[in-house]
Amino acid sequence: MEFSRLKPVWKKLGIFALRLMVFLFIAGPMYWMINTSFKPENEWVTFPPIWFPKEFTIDNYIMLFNPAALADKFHISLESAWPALLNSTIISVFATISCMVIGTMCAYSISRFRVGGNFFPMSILALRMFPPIAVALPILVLFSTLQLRDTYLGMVIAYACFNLPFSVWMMKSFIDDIPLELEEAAIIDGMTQIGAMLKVTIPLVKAGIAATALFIFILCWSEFLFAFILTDTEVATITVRLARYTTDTGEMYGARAALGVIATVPPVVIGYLIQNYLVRGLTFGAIKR
Amino acid sequence: MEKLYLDNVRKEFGMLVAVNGLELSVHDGEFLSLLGPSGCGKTTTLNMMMGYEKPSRGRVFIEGRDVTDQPVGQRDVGMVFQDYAIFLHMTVFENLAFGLRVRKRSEPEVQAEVKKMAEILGLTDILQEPAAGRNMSELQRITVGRSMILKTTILLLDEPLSNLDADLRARMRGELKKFQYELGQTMIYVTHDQVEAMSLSDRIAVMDFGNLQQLSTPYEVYNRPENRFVAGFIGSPPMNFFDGEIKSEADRILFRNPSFQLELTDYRRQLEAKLVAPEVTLGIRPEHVEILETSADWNSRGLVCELELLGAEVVTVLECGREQVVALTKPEHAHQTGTSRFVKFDPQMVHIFDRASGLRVELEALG
Amino acid sequence: MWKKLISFPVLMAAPVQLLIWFVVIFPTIVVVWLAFCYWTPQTGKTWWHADFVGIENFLNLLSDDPRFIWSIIRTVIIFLVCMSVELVGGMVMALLFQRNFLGKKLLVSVLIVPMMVIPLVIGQSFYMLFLAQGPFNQIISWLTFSNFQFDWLSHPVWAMVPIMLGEIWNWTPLVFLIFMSGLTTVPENQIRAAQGLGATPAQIFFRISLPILKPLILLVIVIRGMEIFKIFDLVYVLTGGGPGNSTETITMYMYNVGIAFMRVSYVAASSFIVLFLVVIGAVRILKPLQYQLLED
Ligand SMILES: Nc1ncnc2c1ncn2[C@@H]1O[C@H](COP(=O)(O)OP(=O)(O)O)[C@@H](O)[C@H]1O
Ligand SMILES: [Mg+2]
Repeated sequence: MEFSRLKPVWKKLGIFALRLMVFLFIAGPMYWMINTSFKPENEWVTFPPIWFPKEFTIDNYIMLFNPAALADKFHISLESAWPALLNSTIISVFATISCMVIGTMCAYSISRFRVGGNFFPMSILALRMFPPIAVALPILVLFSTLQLRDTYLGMVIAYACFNLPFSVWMMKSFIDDIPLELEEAAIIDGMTQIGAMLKVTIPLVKAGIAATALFIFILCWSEFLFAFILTDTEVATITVRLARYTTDTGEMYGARAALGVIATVPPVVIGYLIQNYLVRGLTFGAIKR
Repeated sequence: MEKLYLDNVRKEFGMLVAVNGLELSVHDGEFLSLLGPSGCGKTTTLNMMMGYEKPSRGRVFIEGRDVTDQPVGQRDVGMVFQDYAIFLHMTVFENLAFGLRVRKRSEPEVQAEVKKMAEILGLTDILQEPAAGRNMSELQRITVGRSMILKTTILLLDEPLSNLDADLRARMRGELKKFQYELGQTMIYVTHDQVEAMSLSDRIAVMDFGNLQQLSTPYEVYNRPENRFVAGFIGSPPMNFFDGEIKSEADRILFRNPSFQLELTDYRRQLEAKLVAPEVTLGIRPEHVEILETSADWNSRGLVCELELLGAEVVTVLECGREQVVALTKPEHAHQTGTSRFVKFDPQMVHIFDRASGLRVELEALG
Repeated sequence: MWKKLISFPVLMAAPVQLLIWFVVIFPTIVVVWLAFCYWTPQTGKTWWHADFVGIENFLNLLSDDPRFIWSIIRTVIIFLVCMSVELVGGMVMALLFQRNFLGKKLLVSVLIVPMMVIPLVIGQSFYMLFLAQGPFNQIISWLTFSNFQFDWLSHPVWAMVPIMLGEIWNWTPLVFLIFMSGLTTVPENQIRAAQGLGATPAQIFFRISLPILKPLILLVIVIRGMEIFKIFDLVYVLTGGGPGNSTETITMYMYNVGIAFMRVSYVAASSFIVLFLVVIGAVRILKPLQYQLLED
């Protein structure tokens, strides 16, 4: 349509201004986080605020990983962020693997055999509507009884379960895309059902498995509520650590911003890797762009 | 005043020239067809009239106004699309009412107009039904009605019948002509189907590769094609063409090639006045070819090699030396394949085209 | 052979079933049991020996605890406001980015970052933005030529603004992406036809594009709605439900009462009510979605 290019200048400017506003709204909070993480203590909170660090410093990051080195300077001793990063990684990786393995099996069963009719898959989806806090309390009680509280296993179980809606539905949408005929042909050629699944269908949804796994990893990594309730000191995750900086240590804006930036890097990097699957994941496979 | 006038309009898509210097005027109440093979620029021409495309060069006038720079929807022109483009999420009624409603006409007026249009088109019973799921002929009528209800100065129709099957197409053709007649609407009708163009149009514009080849009445287009392309494109089975030379021998004037000989002495004056070069192409329609068992006065001899019965008529293909001749005759005059026959052309009905330019050499009615 | 095939699908789905029983259904049963009991860890009894008190918890909750009712109302308000802004904003963004222009790809890849950022980090970031001496106030000062220093997070009503803005910032990009791909499914020929019939761009949007996108909009509302009703992380970081209880959402309320104050059986009753609402909602909302999701 050629006439759209003949729009008056003011309209073009208006559209440009709107796009710019959208960009600023989205980029602003990210910028402020990064900005603060490189500021020295005396620039954290001032009025008017400082839009670009006058004295650029990476002390905030050093403090996260080697608090002892800067203890004198800040008169405060923070806990190192290393254990939290490690815990988050361990829990997210294992929860993702468990969630993917059982979720894919279930998705296969739903996609190929319609197991449980409509009710079963929809009830898994309903899990996402389920407010975790409603069961958090009995889980807490239960986990305390079973001595799962503040353990990797407990966290992995909780995360694996609450991310099932994503693994099951996303994998279902990927498996749905693979024609059934391929498996039928393999079975006629003498493969078993399990063989056909493992050797025919699963290799074809490899990309889907990778995308779903990474997607679930992001969700585990970002989760806060369960981590906060079910962990204490042993396996506190990065989100818990971040929340604790608020209460434990007063207003350590620099350190909080720095940890925020660091915690955000893995999900954003992974998010870009699976950019084309993000929408599919967040809509449970309903929108397959 | 002309309803629509294209002043030397040209449209390029990159290197491709889709429409090349088109000069066209459309009269009030006229039914004009744009006829040409697929890809010859018919849709592009309509798009420029509508405003979907801006001409690379040239101007578009509607009722004397230069509308070249006016956007779509403000030119008082309506268009019916090849793919109908029905609004499937609306009811039939809402489809018909769309144009009136976006023009903010009063609701009683919309109701009345839609009712009237639905009656003309026979859509009254399904007005409240969803448009999705209607059959092809209903969709076709909805899309025509949706545009026609606006009573625009001109209505453009882009191959509106090409998606229908044969019998429906024939019926809709009749109805379309009736609507046009009743409403006195100026219509520009795009088609690649010559039967449609011939049967519906007041005038036909034949196009090829973006060039206007001929603009005249169906009778003229058929009987006095201005060039070889038009002659070959119009008519089914197509016209026979033979390359040859015009020669004067003694007091006779002959068309000659290795397989044929035809006396054109009657046209001596015209030929002497108009002929540019002796190399010509002779064209003759199959219905003007006679097949005879015996004749003293024949143009060629050939072997009957193919017969195709069409019902009322029969198509006969003969091998005459190196040439093939197609004849259209009554079934009573059918000949066995494999038999050898004489071929005779009706000398009144031959068309002569200059071989180099392809232009017609007018043989008739020279003053 | 047949028997094997019949049990194979069930076996494949069994681990998921087991996990859901262990992590969701069994705790739900516990919730239901505790809801009718009086029990906190301090009573010294194990929870399955708790004292049965009937519907006392429910009576207290519904008649004497406006805090609970308000948390529900507040959550609904957050849902309504955020959902409308996300839908309208996402659609406006999608329209702004419908045409190709120089740098579109780059810009879009920046715009989708928020949906990958950890909500808790968003909370931290908005906390700093909305400090009395934060940049948000600075921008307002610029726009109003004043010296605006308002402590958003300590105001019982205005503290909702950073919470909602955080939520909107987080998820409008998703809505934007969904609508952007949705807009490409609007048939080009219908748009052209509407143009030809004299419709203005606005009329084309409201009469053609929007109705065609309706199922997609419903999908967005359902999927985003499910999440917004659980909103916690942002509230926790930004206000912790305060000042007072003025920004408590359902989850925040249950956290404060049940986890922080350990009124376990009392909060179990509220969980029971919330679960009850969720089940009704799930049936209502997921029914129509079922056809969309399971059609093929
Ligand atoms: N938007 C376009 N961009 C590039 N080429 C085009 C475009 N529209 C049409 N064309 C080309 O212009 C020529 C004429 O097209 P069109 O007018 O659609 O033909 P018709 O309707 O007679 O079949 C074709 O070769 C077609 O490929
Ligand atoms: Mg065409």
